[in-house]
Amino acid sequence: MKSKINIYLIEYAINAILRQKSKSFFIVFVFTLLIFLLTSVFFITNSIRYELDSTVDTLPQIIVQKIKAGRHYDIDVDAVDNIIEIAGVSDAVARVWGYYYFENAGVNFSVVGIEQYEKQYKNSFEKIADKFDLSDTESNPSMVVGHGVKKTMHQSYYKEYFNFIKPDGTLKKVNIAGVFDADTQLESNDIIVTSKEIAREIFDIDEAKATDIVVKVANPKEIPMIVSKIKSIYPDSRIITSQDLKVSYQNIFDYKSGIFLALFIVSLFTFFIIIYDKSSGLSSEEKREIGILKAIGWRVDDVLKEKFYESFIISFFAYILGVGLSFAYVYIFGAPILQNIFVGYSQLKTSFELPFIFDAQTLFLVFFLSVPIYVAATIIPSWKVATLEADEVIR
Amino acid sequence: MNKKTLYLIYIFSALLSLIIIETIYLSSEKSMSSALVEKKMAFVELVGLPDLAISTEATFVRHRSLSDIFSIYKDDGTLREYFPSTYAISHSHIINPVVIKRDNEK
Amino acid sequence: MIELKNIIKRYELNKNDIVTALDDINLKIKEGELVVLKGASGSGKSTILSLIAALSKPTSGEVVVDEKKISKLPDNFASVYRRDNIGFIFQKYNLIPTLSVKENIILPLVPLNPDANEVQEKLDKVTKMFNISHKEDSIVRNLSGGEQQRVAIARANVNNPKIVIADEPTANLDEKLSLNFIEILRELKALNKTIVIATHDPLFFDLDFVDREIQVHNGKIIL
Repeated sequence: MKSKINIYLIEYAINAILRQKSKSFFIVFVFTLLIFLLTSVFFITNSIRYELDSTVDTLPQIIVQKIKAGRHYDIDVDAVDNIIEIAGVSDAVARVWGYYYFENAGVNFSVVGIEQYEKQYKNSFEKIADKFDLSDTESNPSMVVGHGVKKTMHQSYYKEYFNFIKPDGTLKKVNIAGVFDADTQLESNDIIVTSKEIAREIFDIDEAKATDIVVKVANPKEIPMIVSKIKSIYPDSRIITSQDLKVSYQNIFDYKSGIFLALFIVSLFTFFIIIYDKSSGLSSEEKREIGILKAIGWRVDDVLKEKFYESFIISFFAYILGVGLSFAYVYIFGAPILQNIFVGYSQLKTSFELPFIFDAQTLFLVFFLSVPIYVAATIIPSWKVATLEADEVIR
Repeated sequence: MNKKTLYLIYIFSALLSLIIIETIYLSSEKSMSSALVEKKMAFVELVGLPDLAISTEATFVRHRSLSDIFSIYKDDGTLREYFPSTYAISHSHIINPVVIKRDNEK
Repeated sequence: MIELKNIIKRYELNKNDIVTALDDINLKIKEGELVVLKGASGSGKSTILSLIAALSKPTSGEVVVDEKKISKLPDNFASVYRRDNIGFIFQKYNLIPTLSVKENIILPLVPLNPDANEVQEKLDKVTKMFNISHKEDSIVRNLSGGEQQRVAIARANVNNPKIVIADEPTANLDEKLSLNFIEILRELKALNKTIVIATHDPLFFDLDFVDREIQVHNGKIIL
């Protein structure tokens, strides 16, 4: 006995698999499909999380919202002055942003108003937009839009400019000054960035009001304390810290939510069917075969080893095939059909080009959920038969 | 070694190399380079809004981290909330963040 | 060499139905002997063969082969005993029909993970001896009855066992093939193997190289 791997046993196992071609094919097919589905969903959710985590540190440290009757309400701009006076606060800025519903296309745009002459914004813009020129809002109101926005507007024949319908019914024409880089699509697809004045005009928000207030803090460790101080000044406020955002990002795919529940139920169901079929006992043919092997001198261990090879070959093959297909499906083809669960009915679709991360944890998880269970389901009934008296089985 | 075992080994090797090639290709082409991350970070810093634009059909999905209770529970025909993406993406759980105790104030 | 001492074998078909297959059997078979067990079907001769091959355990009594008590062997040891000492030719051959002749013959050797040369050597020896080498790569289910029997015999002998057991070997054969089988038996006897055959085929009675004929009736040996 040279090497530990018994080639003759493996050959016998392969022959056994080929002996039941259609059954083996069916099992491989179902398994591959299951693993394909599982890993695809895991890959998509992992990539989305990864994408979120890559930018989480640039989000505002403290966001102050006013809540009235459970609803997010406009906050007084005066609050900025009060907040800036709190010790530890380095800056507070009132923001104007909201959703503009473009009825023609049935689409929601997110409109964000910024102070266009802040130096930091100029540098940022250079990195992320093709061309821009937000100067001179009075005579030349303009905006920089995301890829999806440009496309939607284009489809409604708005090529160089767009007419917003103000709350009072009149139109506000705004020129499209630039488009955000396609690489930022996952974040910028539906966003319109314009000056605060134009945003105020579009939403009819008073100069004294703002959507929310963003607070910058010199020492991040002091955030909780500053939060409690703001809360004491403005008891009706809701304060979201960067820590809350991080937690919120982690909760995005709630394991109690629909998709994971459905996925696990489908997996369990499929498994249950296959394993029930396997463990409800072998067919009389299979029993006889084990009896013959025992009669010609195979021990129980030898029989089990052979069954192990058989089931491992099938399940491992299905696993590798499923994972390989899943990689291509999610990252090369953008997960057609499956992406619709995540995109929903949104009319503004992004390219769904997710960043690739190699997640060994997911791969191991799926492996251990599938291969060992199938192997066990095959070996256990074989073991039961193999330990019977060979004589009983043959006759 | 018999033909069948050889075929099996070939098939497994082919599949494994497929995965390895895919992994190498994808990590070089599709993973996030630092230039890409910089762009995204610059954008998010500019705009200051969280969450991705993958699904824009409901406010508590689009900017879920900032959404309020009202948007989760209200009905509005034109804004079409409560749909497929909420099957996958859950609404934010930080609607009511921890109440701050104020017994040492006032 | 083979000894059955006070063997009783009972089968329980259901709660109140107990069949006594063997009732106090005592038998001694010397090394190199060719013994024929005669008797009608259901007389218990197949059960005796099973016991010698450790395929089943007696209800009471002992089976001793080469001074080893094989009737009490645990399952794995019984398998090894069979592998190393017994060549069993079943009535229905019990070959794997979808495998080739070669793959069927080397089946007893598979768990040992032997050297390829060793396997080829043993294979060549038995295929030549039983005249089946020209069909080595044929699939068993495509062979004739006589050819299949030769494969079964080859498989039983591939490990060069000391004891060859055959259960109704000529039940499915015509006279010509039965006579062929008897010739093969003669060769095996010449190799000094201990041979035990259970049959009710009259061709086996009064053969010159048969050492003993034992009559089995209703689970008892009739002298």
